[in-house]
Amino acid sequence: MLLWMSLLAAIAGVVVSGLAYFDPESGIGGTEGALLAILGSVVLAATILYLLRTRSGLMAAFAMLVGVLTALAAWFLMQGLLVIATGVALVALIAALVTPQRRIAQ
Amino acid sequence: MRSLSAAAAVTLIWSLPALAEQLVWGTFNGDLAATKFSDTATLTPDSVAGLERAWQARTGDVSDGSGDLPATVWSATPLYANETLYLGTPFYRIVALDPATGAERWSYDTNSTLEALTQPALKNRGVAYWESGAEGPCEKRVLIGTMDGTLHAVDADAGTPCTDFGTDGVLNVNSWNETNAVFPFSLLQPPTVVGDTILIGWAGKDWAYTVEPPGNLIAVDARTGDLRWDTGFIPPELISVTGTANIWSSMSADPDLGLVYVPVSSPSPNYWGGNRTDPIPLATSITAIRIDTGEIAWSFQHVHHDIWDYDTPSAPTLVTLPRDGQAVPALVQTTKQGFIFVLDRRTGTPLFPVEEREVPPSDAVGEVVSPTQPFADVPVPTIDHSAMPEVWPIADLLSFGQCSRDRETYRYEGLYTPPSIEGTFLWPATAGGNNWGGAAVDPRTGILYVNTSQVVQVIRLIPRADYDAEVAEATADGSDASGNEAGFYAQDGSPYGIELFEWRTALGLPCWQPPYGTFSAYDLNTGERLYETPFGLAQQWGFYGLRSWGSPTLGGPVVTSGGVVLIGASMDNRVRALDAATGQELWSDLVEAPAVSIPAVFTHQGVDYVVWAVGGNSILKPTVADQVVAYRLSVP
Repeated sequence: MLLWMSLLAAIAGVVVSGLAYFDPESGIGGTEGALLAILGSVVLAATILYLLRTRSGLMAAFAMLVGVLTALAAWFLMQGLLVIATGVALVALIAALVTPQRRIAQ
Repeated sequence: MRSLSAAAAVTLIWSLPALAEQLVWGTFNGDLAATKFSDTATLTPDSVAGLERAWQARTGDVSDGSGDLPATVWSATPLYANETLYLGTPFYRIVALDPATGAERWSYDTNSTLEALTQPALKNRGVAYWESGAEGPCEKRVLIGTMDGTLHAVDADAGTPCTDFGTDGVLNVNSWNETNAVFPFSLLQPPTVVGDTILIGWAGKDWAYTVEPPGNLIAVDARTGDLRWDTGFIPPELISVTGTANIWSSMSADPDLGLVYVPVSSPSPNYWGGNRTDPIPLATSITAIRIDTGEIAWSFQHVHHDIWDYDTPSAPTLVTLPRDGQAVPALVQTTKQGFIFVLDRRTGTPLFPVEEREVPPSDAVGEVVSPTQPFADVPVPTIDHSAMPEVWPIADLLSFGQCSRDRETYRYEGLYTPPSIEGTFLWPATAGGNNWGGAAVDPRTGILYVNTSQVVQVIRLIPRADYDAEVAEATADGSDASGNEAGFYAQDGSPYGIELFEWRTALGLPCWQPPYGTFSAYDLNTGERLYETPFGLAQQWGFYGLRSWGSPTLGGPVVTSGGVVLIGASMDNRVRALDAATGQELWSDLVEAPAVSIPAVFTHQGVDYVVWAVGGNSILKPTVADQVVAYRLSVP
């Protein structure tokens, strides 16, 4: 359940960053930074999707790294919604990892 | 809040007639005094948080340069006159809008060629307005210039050509371009209208040639376009070896004194002066010219033998200041090099000390620099000339020490260090400091408001024999044959071409310590700087810098009688309202590109409006737009 929540938040991040890229009044429309945010969000969502099927400590660590970097990028892009979406994805991911019944494969 | 001093009270009394005219925005700078002051008292620090979009419109005249058309640069100040909002566009059209709704009333197309004949982009800074005072067709006119040197007069109500002006409404100003005509007179800045006289300056093509058209101011009849006079700024005996010293920016005027104040640019070529070692006293100057005759009343040269392209960039701001119990008509000139010169506008005499100081020598072939240059320590310059900004450790680290190595490589011995073969730091950069946006002043208090860019460039002289090879090497992919996009400029006819670039790392990070842009206020009665604060947000690849870094700026501020400064200008696509007392941000809104314009602030049918043309400028970043955005206070 928590991983699904994380995935949904990450997908929301993809949507938000995509909208920001194409919105000329987002302040970052058409920029390399917005593309990076889209890429980060897509990779985060894909990694969480992978974790839903196959538990992997390495992939979980990778997802967290991507999430933190995407949130950081979103912060410097002044995209508050993307910061929130990525933050929720990260918190839900961490919660999923530390919750016993959602323990990842050793 | 500051209490009004007795001195300021004198200022207030002398300024009252100007205040009565401020509900329109009939010129580029709001009024002929270029105060950029608006008597819209509802816009106060307490109210501006309630600014909301009244409407937005698009002109359709925009290009990012990726197609057949060159990119656009749009810095128009909208004009509010005749109960209509008038804008010029970078496709050289006039658009007339309903100020309350943004609905188009009419448009007029000059059908000008859309080629970047003199500038790297299609560029427009708006239109001018004239009215005779009588009723009838073409008794009210809107004027727009084109890059190929024509001036069009259009009926302000109908948008149709005024056929009694020039030939069928079109005056071919470029027909007077008869000497060294290597480029056309580009009419990008709207002309200045004083009474029934239209005063026309023009832009050229910088950094390309040594011998260029000699700069002049052209006065024509507002009704017919007939030439009244023209006044040149290059001594006749030097016209065969140099040129420009033109007026590409806006002007101010004092009809009571019968004077127009013109910002004269540098002579050609811009970065080497071995061809023009004899004095050119009117170049890079503020010059007062009699409106009725064209005679020069006085001139104040603020850069001698300019080899830094430190053109006088903006209309001087006119304000009355108290001196020894007398009200002195003054003129305030902000400059690219960061000095604020305050002069008696009757005589050109400085009202604060200006001192000639020794400056570094040049080692370029044939160059004879001026041994001294004028320095004004009061008011405190907007640029700190005591030292160049330090190397920024973050950029130095990320560039593995490139910034520190550059600092050792390039020459800098203070302001006015000459361009050199090894490379010279330009601090401030060739765009300033302060540029065409100029300053705003509250005429009641004599407080001046100004935005400043803090940018470091490197200028390198390239011996003629090496120039073509260097350009070829830098543009090996063939996409930039001129080398201009790579920062190379020929200065044809001189011993040196140039390379000009911002001092950045390979990743694009500035090598110098922030801030990159500031906003300041000055008490012109004393010369004291009241505050200086970082302004705007720098942006690279979409990522924003910290607030304390500020942003380079293009465009200028407007100050209201309610104590608010309204300004776009920053590279972060935002328009802002600042508290005039502190410079702190009170309100902002995101728009589609940098609003590199001066907003129009006016009252229409009892409602105060703030309108920006949002067009962008590649000097800040490549984002362009064709957006017109109007704000008013929300109705409670």
